[in-house]
Amino acid sequence: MTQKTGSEIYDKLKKAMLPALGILLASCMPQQQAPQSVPSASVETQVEKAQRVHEDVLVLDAHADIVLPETSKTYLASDGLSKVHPDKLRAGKVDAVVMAIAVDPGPRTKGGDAAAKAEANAKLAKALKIANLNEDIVIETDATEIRAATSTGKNRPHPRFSKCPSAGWQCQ
Amino acid sequence: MGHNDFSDSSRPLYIAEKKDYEVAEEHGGLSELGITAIRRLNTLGALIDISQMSKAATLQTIKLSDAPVIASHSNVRALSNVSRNLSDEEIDAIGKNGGVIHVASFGAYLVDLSDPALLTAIKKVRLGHDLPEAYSYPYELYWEIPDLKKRTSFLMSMRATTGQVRLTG
Repeated sequence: MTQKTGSEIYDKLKKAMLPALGILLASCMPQQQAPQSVPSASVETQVEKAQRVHEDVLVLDAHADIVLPETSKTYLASDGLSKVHPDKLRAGKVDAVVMAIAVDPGPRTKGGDAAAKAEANAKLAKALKIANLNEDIVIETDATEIRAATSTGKNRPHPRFSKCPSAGWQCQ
Repeated sequence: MGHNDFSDSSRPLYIAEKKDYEVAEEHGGLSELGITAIRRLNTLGALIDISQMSKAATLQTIKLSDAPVIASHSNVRALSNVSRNLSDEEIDAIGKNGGVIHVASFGAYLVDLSDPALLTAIKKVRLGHDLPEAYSYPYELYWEIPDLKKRTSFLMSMRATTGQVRLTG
């Protein structure tokens, strides 16, 4: 993998990922399409305005499911990939995604708790792997870091997690 | 999905063996553990997401939390009456709390269920495919239909009925 400088990286789309105890969907939104029967001038103006707003704000998907190999295919997009695959985030100019470390319902027993913990750790590992495999994706855990990572014009050192984000996390 | 040790869910779990949902409420909102968790999350500076919580749990969380909360993926129940969506009372409470609601472009939570004729049609499709009449959104539990042909029939029928395609939730 080619080593990129901070400025090169920040010339690309900046993204942050937040592992979270919760659940997202901006990437699931249908692409904006101008209705063909409406005069194009006014629609284009609306689309242009929407694009400008999209460029100006920090676009954050508040909840995304993490896809594991055993995850039901119904959670995948029609192309068989995650709905928040990095290529889709770049194409859609999404700045940040909350990746949900959510576990499926299960028995509330020691065995069930162990299975839930294993699933949570597998999802956390997947989120970390996505960040490790993509130069323009970082994991952040607070709002200040997200703003810094997504603001253009700042050559902030690219924060990469070479170790666990905080004590108590199980990382691979 | 489903109640847990922390809180009641807006989507009680379906127990396949019983062919019925779990009880509507287990804790009456938050459990003692859930109340402790809210306080601990506040202490840690974590952002609390109330999507998926029951209405009682949501209102209790907002009242209890020192910090604004978010609903990471919930829509408006007055427009689409599925249990996952937020009542006006919850929406107002989140607003007063300084929180944020992220509207989810998820078809199953956007179906306009105000038309009694549509509700009747949905009920007919569900019962016709041996699914419970109750649901948090019309497609719910399609995965419990073991026969693939029958499952496909259900999905096609529900799509024709509601005009919605999305399957996962």
